[in-house]
Amino acid sequence: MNDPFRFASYDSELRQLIVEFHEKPDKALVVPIVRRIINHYQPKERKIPSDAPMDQPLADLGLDSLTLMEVTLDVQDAFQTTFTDEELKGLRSFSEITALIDERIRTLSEGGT
Amino acid sequence: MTELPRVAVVGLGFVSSIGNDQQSVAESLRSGRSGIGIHPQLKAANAPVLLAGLIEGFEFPSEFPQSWSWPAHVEIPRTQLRSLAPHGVYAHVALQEALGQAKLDVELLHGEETGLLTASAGSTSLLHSHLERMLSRGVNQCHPFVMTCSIAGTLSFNLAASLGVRGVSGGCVSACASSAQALGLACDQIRLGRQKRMIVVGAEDCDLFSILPFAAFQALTRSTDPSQSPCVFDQRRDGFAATGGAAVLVLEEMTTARARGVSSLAEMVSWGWTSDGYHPMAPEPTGEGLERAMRMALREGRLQPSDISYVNAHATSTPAGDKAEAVALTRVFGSDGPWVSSTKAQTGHALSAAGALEAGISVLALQHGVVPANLNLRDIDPAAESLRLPNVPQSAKLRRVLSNSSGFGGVNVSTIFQTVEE
Repeated sequence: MNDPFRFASYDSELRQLIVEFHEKPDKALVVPIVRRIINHYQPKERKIPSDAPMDQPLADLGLDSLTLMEVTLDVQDAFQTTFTDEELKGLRSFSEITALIDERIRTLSEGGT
Repeated sequence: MTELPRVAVVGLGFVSSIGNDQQSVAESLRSGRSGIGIHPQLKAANAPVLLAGLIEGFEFPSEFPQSWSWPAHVEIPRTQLRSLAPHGVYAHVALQEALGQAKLDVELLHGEETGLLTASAGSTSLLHSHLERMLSRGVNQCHPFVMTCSIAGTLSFNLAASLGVRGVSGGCVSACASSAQALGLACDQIRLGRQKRMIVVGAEDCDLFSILPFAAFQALTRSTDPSQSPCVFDQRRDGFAATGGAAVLVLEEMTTARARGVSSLAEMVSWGWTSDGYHPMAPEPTGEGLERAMRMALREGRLQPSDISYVNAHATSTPAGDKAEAVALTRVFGSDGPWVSSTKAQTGHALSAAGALEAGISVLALQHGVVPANLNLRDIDPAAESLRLPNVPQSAKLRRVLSNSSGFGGVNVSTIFQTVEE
């Protein structure tokens, strides 16, 4: 949240979750943050419910490829991480995004590079 | 020779330092209200130049469109906003009034006989911030709309898509002559029978990145007092005040417009287009290229210089440019010529958007019978002394207006508009 404008249009709940994650990278925050970021880009009638299947391709939920790129950019900024080319290419579903973040957190907590 | 179709102006829209709709702009022209002031970004950057034409009602505090704001009556969906530059937002707001006045509904916008020509220099600020992000954080962290929101052409890419244009579309990049050139080419599309109507949009950002580079070659006024400078055709002039915003003109073949029940605000009669063949930046000192552009427009309209009642000059308040134009105007119109004023002393210089802004102002001048002033003109340059230069707004019945625009590369464009008897 270095740039106050980066997440300016997010709702306060999402901004709060990101702040909490930055204070303490808790794995339990990953799913709600990612879902809210996706929903931030979804029109009202296509918001992803919390019980939606996690492995469904995001394209099937109406996310076009450019919006998916915007989402992954936001996710990288929100979790203060960077995805590689190979990682980005593989991201198609909700669970693939959250798995990647989970892996980053694990690396962090194990004191990895 | 068969008569060419006549071309009517059926819609106008403005986002400018002197008003964001026709009524406010006309009122400012009548009262001589200046749109120039200290630009907050220039001040914050401690820049050696501070004056600019200030656009009200918009905020662009960061490169992220989510943080932008614009007048609430205009809706811009997120899917459109995400690849816009600030000047694309200005354009959307200016289009609202112009398309409404021209009664262009979705069906007409999507028709094959409606085209679009735009003019902007792109968004240097967005290009800078996105490329900086790419270099510092890697290309995967670069925004997917890095190109479509920033490069020259951003205005036409975005508007063609958001308006659903299926006729011709594209943009002109001749710096400060661009949108005048777009108007001329749009007029030709209609006269050649290729399109029934053309939407012409000139727009520019209005920030540190769009303005300050002009100070690198002493083109901007160093004054901090908008009641002193810019002062076109004045011996004291030391450069222009830049501005941004958007101006829209909707042109339509006149009988088609009449059949639709749309009023003609004015007729676009003719235009001229020449180049100096001299220098990438500096104007040719004798104004020979601009003179040829004016004569070409007069010839094409089968008009004499005495048929023109008012000239909206290009004059920006730079020593070299104003002098070259004054000399050219004197040669074309002699000592008993039309009213001449440059509204850039009042609005600031809208760069690529200037031609469309000033064509729009020219149409308002015809409609409202007002000759805009050369604000701050007190000590007339000897080269301009035989011109009829009002320093306060005048009321006058105007029949025909000629508007000049010149840009980098020595491009010169003159457009002529006249009143329409219904």
